[in-house]
Amino acid sequence: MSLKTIILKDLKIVLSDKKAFIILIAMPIILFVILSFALQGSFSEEDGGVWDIDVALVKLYDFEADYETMSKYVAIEDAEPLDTMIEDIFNDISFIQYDIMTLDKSKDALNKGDIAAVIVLPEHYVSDLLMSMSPTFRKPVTIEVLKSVDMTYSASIVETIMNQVSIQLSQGMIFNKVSQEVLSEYDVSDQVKQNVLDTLQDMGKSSTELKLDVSDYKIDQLKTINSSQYYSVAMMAMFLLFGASYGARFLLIERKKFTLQRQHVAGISPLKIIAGKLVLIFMIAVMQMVIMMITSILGFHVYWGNPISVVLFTILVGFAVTGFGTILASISMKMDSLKALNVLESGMFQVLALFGGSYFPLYLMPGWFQTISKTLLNGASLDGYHKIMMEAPIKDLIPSITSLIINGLGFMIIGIIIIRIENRSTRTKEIEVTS
Amino acid sequence: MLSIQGLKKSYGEVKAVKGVDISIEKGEIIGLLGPNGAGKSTTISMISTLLKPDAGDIFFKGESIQKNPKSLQRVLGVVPQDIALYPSLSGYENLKFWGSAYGLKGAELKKRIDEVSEIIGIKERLKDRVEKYSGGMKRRINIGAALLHQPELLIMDEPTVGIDPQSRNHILETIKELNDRGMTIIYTSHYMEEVEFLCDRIYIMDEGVVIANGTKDELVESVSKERKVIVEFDEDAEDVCHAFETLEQVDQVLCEKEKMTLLTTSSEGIMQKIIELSAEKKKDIISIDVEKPNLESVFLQLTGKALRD
Ligand SMILES: Nc1ncnc2c1ncn2[C@@H]1O[C@H](COP(=O)(O)OP(=O)(O)OP(=O)(O)O)[C@@H](O)[C@H]1O
Ligand SMILES: [Mg+2]
Repeated sequence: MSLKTIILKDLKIVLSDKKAFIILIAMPIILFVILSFALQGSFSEEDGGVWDIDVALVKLYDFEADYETMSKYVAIEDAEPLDTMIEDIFNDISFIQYDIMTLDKSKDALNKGDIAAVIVLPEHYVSDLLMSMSPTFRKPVTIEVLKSVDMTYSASIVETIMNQVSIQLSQGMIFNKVSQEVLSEYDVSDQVKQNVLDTLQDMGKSSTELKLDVSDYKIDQLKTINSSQYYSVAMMAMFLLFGASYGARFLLIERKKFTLQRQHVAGISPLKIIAGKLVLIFMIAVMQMVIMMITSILGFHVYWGNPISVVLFTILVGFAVTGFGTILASISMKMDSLKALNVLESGMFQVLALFGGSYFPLYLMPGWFQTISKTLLNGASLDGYHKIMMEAPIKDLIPSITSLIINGLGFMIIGIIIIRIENRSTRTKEIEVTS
Repeated sequence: MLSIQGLKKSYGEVKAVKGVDISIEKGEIIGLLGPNGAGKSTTISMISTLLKPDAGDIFFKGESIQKNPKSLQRVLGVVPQDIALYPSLSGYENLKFWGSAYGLKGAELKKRIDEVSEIIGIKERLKDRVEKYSGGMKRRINIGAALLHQPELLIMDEPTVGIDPQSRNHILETIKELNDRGMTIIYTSHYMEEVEFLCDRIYIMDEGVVIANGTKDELVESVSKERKVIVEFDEDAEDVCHAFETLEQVDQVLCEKEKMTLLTTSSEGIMQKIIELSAEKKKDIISIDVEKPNLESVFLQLTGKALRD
C-alpha cells in the first residue's frame, strides 16, 4: 500500500473532523479577528498609520546668514548638504512624511495629534556644524526631538532615526578633531595643512551624506507592524502547536479504535504509518497558515511581505511543526493516553503561547523573555513572519530560520529515538518474561 | 496449514496465554470457545502477528511466522473483536482503504468491494458514514474489510458480539458459505451455539490454556455418554412407567404425569423400542426427544463453572 493512500485517507478524516476544524482553523481566525479589532490603535495612533509617520521639521537657523559667517572657509556646495541633510534622510524613508514648519505651528500640530514628532534644528545649526567639522573648533550641536505622547510608537521610531543621525554625525566630527590634533604635533606647513583640511572636509561631507539602513530601525522596532499583522501571526503560531499534536491524537485514536493494529496485521510497516502521520502534520500546518493568510489578507488587508519569502518560510515552519509533532506523537504513544495529551495541550501549549508572544506583544517584554521566545518553535515563527512583513534583510531572518531548523530536526530526531527505544524495550520485556 | 505450538504470552503479571497448541487443516472451521478473559483474543493477536509470543511458535505452511510474517500476512484476513474502522469515512471508503491495505487496486479493488458488499449485505448503505450504521451493519462491514483480498485463512474474533439475531444469522450463514467455498476459518466466541453450528473442531479455552479439543461429538462423548430420551404421552403414563425399566439399554426411568425421561448410555435403536412398547401399553406418544449433553455441560464438567455468567 502506498504512502499516498494512507495520507489521503488521513486527510479525508481530518477534513471531516469538525472538532479538528474548530481547533485548528476556526479558533485562530476567530481570535485573530477579535484581537485585531480590540487592539486596533494600540500599535499606533491610527492603525496602519505606522507606515506613514508624519513629522514636522523646524529650522530655527537662517542658512544664508549661517553660511555668511563661514563663507571664508567653506564653499557653498559643501554647506548646502548640511542644510538639507535631514530632509534627504527623510526622503529616503518611505514611511516618513515631513513638513517644514515654524516651531509654534509644529507644536500645535503635535498637540492636535496630526504629527508624531517635531525635529527642531537649532539656531546657527549649519554654521555650528561647519565649525565642528573644521579641525580647530568644537561647537556642540543639539537637535531636539519633540515626541507625541499619543503616538508613542511612531515617535520612538523617529527618535531612533535621529539618534542614528547624530551618532554618524559626531563620528565624522571626532574624526576631524583627531586628525587635526595629530597634524598639530608635527610642524607642517600651512599649505599641507590646508590640503589635509580639504580632504577632511570631504570626509566630513561624506559623513553628512548619511546612509542609514532603513530596515535597521524597522527591525529594531517590532512596533512598525500593526495589530492585524501582529495577531494574524501570533494566533497562527499558537495554533500550529495544536496542529502538531493532531498527529499524536490521531495515532492514539487509531490505536484505541484498533485501526492501527489492523494496519499492522495487514503488513503495513509502522514506519509507513508514522511517516504518513508526519506528512499529515505538515499538510495541516501549511493549511492552517495558508488559511490564516488568506483570511487576514482578504479581511484585514494584512501585508505578509514578499511572496517568495513567505512561501519558503512557511515550508520551513511546516517542517519545524512536523518535528514537534514527531516528539509529541512518540511521547503520547509511549504514555498511551489521550488524557495526557489533553493536559499537555492545555498546560504546556499555553506556556509556549505566552513565551511565543501570542498573548502579549513581545516587544513589551523584557529582553530575556524575547530571547526565550526566539528559541521556541512558535516564537521563532512569529519573529520570522514579522520580519518578512517588515521586509527585513535576510540576515535578520537568520536567527529565526536557525531556531526553526534546530527545533524541527532536534525534535524529529529525539522523537524517532524515543519510538525506537520504545520498540526495543517492549521486545526485551518480552524476552525477560520468556526466560 | 497452521500449527501453533506451546504459545505463551503475559501482560506484565497477567499470564494471558499459558501454553496453547492448536492445529488447523485447510478448509476447516476451527472454533475457539471460552469465557471472557480466557485468552482467545491474545492467542489470535499472536497468530495475526500483532503480538510477539513470549514462548512457542506459530507455523504457517511449515514456516515460522515470526521469521517470515509477510507470507502469512498476505493471505490472512482478520476480523478484530473491536470494530476497527474509520467511523467518519463511508462504508465504501473503508472497504477501499482496507482493500488497498492488502494490495488491491483499480478495477480489481472496485470489483471486490462490489462482491464483498453483496456478501455482507450492505450494498445500499455503502455511501453512508460508518458512524451512522447500526451495530449489526458495523459488524458486517468489519467482517467485509477482512474479506476483500480473498484470504486463505480468516480469523474472526467474536464477530457477532452485541447484535440482533437477524444480523447474527446473516453473519453465521455468510461464514458457512465462505467455508463452503474453501476458506479456512478460525472462529472465536463464547456463544456455544455459534461454535456448535459452525465449527468442524472446537478448542475450549479457559484461563490461558486449551482444556479440551475435538469435534463437538467427541467433546461431548469425552465427558459423558449419557443421553436423555424424553417421551411425552397424550395422557398420564405413570402407571406404565416401570415397564420401560425393562429395556436393556435404559439405566433409569423418571416419570411425571404425561412426561417420561429415560437415561441411557446408548440411544441406538431405542426409539423403535420405545414406540413398540408404548403401542403395547396402549399409550399414544406426542413427542420423543433425544437430548445430548451440550458444550455448555462439557465446559461445566471440565471447569466447574458456566461458560457465560
Ligand atoms: N493489553 C492488555 N494488557 C493487559 N492485560 C491484558 C491485555 N489484553 C488482555 N489482557 C488480559 O489477558 C487476559 C486474556 O485476555 P483476552 O482478551 O485474550 O481474553 P478473551 O478470551 O479474548 O476474552 P473476551 O471474551 O472478553 O474477549 C485477560 O485477563 C485480560 O485482562
Ligand atoms: Mg477477546
